[in-house]
Amino acid sequence: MVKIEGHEFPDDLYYHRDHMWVKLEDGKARVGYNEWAAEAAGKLVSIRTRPAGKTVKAGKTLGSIESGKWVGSLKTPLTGKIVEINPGLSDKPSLINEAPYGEGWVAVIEPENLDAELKTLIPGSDKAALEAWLKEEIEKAGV
Amino acid sequence: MEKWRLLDLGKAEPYTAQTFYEAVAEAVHRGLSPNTLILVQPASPYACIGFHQDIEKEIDLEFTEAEGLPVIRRSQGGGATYLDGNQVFYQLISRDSEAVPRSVDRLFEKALGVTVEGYRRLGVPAEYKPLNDVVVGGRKISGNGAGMHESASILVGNFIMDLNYPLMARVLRVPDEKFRDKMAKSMEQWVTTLKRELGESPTPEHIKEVYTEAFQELMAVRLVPGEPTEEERRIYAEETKPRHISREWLYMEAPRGKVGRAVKIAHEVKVVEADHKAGKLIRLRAEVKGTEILDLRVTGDLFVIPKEAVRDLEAELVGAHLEEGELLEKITRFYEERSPESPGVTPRDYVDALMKLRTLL
Repeated sequence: MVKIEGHEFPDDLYYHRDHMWVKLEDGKARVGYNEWAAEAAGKLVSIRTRPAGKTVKAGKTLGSIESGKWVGSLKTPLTGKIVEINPGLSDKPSLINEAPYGEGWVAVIEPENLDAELKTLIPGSDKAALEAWLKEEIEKAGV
Repeated sequence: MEKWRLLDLGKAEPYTAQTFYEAVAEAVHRGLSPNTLILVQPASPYACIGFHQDIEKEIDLEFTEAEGLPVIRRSQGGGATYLDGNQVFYQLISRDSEAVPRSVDRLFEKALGVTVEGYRRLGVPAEYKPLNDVVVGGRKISGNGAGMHESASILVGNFIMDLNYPLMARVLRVPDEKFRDKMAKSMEQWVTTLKRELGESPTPEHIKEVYTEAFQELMAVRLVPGEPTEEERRIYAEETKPRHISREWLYMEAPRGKVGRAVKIAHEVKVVEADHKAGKLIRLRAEVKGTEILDLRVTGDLFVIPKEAVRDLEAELVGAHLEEGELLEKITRFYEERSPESPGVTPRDYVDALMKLRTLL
C-alpha cells in the first residue's frame, strides 16, 4: 500500500491519469475510481455507466458521476469490452467513496490492447512516479 | 492580470440560454477559445432536469406539452426546475485558470463569493452556505452547479429576480396534488428572490453590471467584452443543439431510481414521500431539513382509534430526526402513554416507514 498525503494507493494496482485504477485479474481488468479523486469529488449521489457488452476506448468516457451538484466523467483506463458493471453502484454510488478499491469498483473490462496500454499507466509499485503525478494533481486542484 | 472574455448574450431562447456554454466549453477545451464568463437571460420559459435525472419521473410532460414548454436536460447535476426570463444566468467556462480552483469545494466557495458580493451590492444580505448555496435569512436565492467538460471547468448559477412558485411546482411530476401543495408551500418558505427581498427587483442590466464588477475584483481577472466565435457557433449548431434536442439525450435512461419521491427545495430542505406496506399501507409525506422532520403527514389505509391519534403522532414527530433509535423511542412512548389501537400497524412499522424516507435524502 502506498500512502501519499494521507491517501491510499494499493501497490498491486495500476493508475490512469484520469484517476481510474486497474486491477489485473486472469486476463481481465477490474477498474474503479481512486480514493483521492473520490474524496475530492465528495459524496457521490448518482452514477451512469455505459452498459456491459459495449466496447470502450482508453481515455474515452466510461460513465458519469455526480456529487452534490458537481458532475464529472469516469474515463476508461483501457480499451476493451465491458463485461461487467458493478450492480451495487446504481443503488449506492457512494460505495465509491466508502470502498474505492473494494466494493466500490466500477467495471470489469476485457482488454484488447493490454500490453501496450499498461505501459501508459502508473504502476502502484512505482511510488516515486505516483507521488509526482499526485502532487501535480493536488497542485492543480488547489487543495 | 488574467484576461477573460465576457459574452453577454442578452435574452436568448431556452436552448441557447441553457446549452450554448457547452459549445464554449468544447472550444475552450480544444484551445480555440479563451476563458469566458457568459451572462444570459432565457427569453422564454422552460423546464430543466439534472443530468442524471429521469425526465418521465421528474416532469409532468402532459402539462409541459400542453403549455408548449420545452424540457431541457442540462449537463450539470441537481434537480428538476422551472426557469424563465426572471433569472440572470452566469456561466463560467475556464481551463487552467489561475483564478479557478479545480477542487469542487474551493471552486464553489470562490465563485459563489462573487454571487454573494453581487447580491450584497444590490442590497440583499446574502451569505455563502457550503457547498453550493447562496442564502438570505436561511432562504435560497441562487441555484448553482458545476462540472468538467474534458479539460474545461464549468460553473453555472443564477440571480433570481422573481419566481413563479405555482408554475415551478406545476411542471414537476408528483404523486398527487397534496404533495404538490406541500412542495409549493415549502418552496415559498425556503426559496426567495430579489423582488421579495427588495420589494422590486433591480433590472437585469444593473444585476449584470454589479456582478461583472464583483467578478473582476474577487476573481482577480479582467473581463473583455467579446462575441461568440465562428467555431463556437459551428460546434453549437452541429454538435450541442442536435444532441440536446435528440430523444436519445432527453430520454436518457436514468440510474435506477429509489422507491418513493423526493424533491429538493433548497439547501438541505426536501419534500419526500414513501409508502411502506405493513399489515396496512402507511404512506408518509414529510418536509425535512437534513434529517430533521419539519412537517409530517401520515395517510394510507391504516385504521387508528382514536382517530386523532394519527394527527397527534405526526405532531409528536415534528422536530425528531430520521434516526432509528430516536424514532423508536418516541413512537413507543407515544403508544405507551396514549394506548392507541392500530390493528396491523406497530410502532416498529412506523419506524420502518420513516426510515424509508431517510433513504430518499
